[in-house]
Amino acid sequence: MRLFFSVVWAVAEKDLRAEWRARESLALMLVFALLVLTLFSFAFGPGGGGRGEEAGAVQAGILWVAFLFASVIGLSRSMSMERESEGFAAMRLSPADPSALFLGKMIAALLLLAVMEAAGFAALAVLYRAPVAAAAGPLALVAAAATVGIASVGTLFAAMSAQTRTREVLLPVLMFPLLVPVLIAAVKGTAAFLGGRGWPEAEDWVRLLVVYDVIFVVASAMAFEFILSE
Amino acid sequence: MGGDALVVSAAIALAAFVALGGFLWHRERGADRWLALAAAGALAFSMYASLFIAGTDSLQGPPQRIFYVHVPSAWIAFFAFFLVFLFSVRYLLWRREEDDIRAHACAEVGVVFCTLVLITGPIWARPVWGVWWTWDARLTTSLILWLIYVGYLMLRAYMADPEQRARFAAVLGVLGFIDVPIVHMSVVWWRTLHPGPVVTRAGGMSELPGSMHVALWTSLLAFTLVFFYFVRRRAELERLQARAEAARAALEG
Repeated sequence: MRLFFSVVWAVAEKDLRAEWRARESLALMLVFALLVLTLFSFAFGPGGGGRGEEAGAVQAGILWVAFLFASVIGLSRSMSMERESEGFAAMRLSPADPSALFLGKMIAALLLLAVMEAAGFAALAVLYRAPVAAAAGPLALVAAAATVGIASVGTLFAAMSAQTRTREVLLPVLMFPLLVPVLIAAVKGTAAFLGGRGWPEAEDWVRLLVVYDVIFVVASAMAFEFILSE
Repeated sequence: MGGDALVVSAAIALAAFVALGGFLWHRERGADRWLALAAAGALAFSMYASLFIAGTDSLQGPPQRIFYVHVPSAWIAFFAFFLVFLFSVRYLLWRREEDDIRAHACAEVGVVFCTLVLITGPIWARPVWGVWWTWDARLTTSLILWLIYVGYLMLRAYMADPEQRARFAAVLGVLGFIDVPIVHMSVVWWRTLHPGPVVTRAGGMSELPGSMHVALWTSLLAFTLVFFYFVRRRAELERLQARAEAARAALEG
């Protein structure tokens, strides 16, 4: 068990260190998320700002679509890096538990996504005058629950699509349909707090996210073996 | 609908089915021959049953009859994706090529039936609900289901190595199916407008009149036969392709 977690930590640390040195994925993700937030404001006109239930629903939708799109960049880069440096061959040869390798990759992706999301919420508060600060704690909880789902399914499918002929292009096509429940629940949960209705409305959605997380973290960790094996 | 026009088009359709049955009988051998014949016959009868035996729905009128295509297609699509799940699990356990071939065939035919659901649904919804599409729970779930399994087929299409393709596809076949109930639940909570389940309600089967049952169940039988016939043929095609590829590789190597 201690060995398992040391592998998880080693892989996560390796990924984060690589990201820290190159600072490529995170910068790309941040700029892309900001870009999507800006584009939505052009697409819908300068409205959609401010407080209230309707504004909250629109803001939550824009925010999570931006996060989902931006997550593709980080997830696919993390795996294309493995492919370019023969990382998949190394993981195949390694005696370490594939689930531990998976969890390491997933946690690194999770942390990158979390940083991107924190910046995204801040941008939402500024650009759309959303009441983010008023419910920062609950919003962080909703975002965390949703991001675990995105990171687990995303890491697994990124590992798959990186090894296909089309490389990263396939990732959104594989990942988005499976993430529909996460998108719905994250948007509804976020909208509940931005719109001011809070816990009574968000509760069921957070529960759904937790169930999704448990199922897909376990399933993806178990399936990673089949993505590596030869 | 005009009575004469209906009879004429039914006669044309019947002739087409007889021709189709004859053609398949001539073309196929062994078990496929009987399966093809039974499927064509059952389809012809189910068409007759849904147009003539089943009474006209008092509220929805004739458009309701598309129900006899729509509902069996939905059941078959779901059954097909369940089989994909089953064969995918088997493949991951024992790594037999045959299971992969079957999973692939079921996925492809399942997508065909799922497409049928997504086409017949709006055709029915337009006269009855007044809109082509609404983001109703079951409609939306079918669409997501369709997207997941189109993704499955695309993943397969973009991979060259047959063994790796089989493994990756099997993982998607399992995870995609696990996702279905969660997708459905989230979409139900999101919104719902669909007519409640009318076939198996708590009160038993009393919701539908008997004549409608005949049409529904014969359609389901017909679609099931067609499904198995398609899957068998598709799997056979896959095997032939694998053999052809192996032969080409042997010639070149």
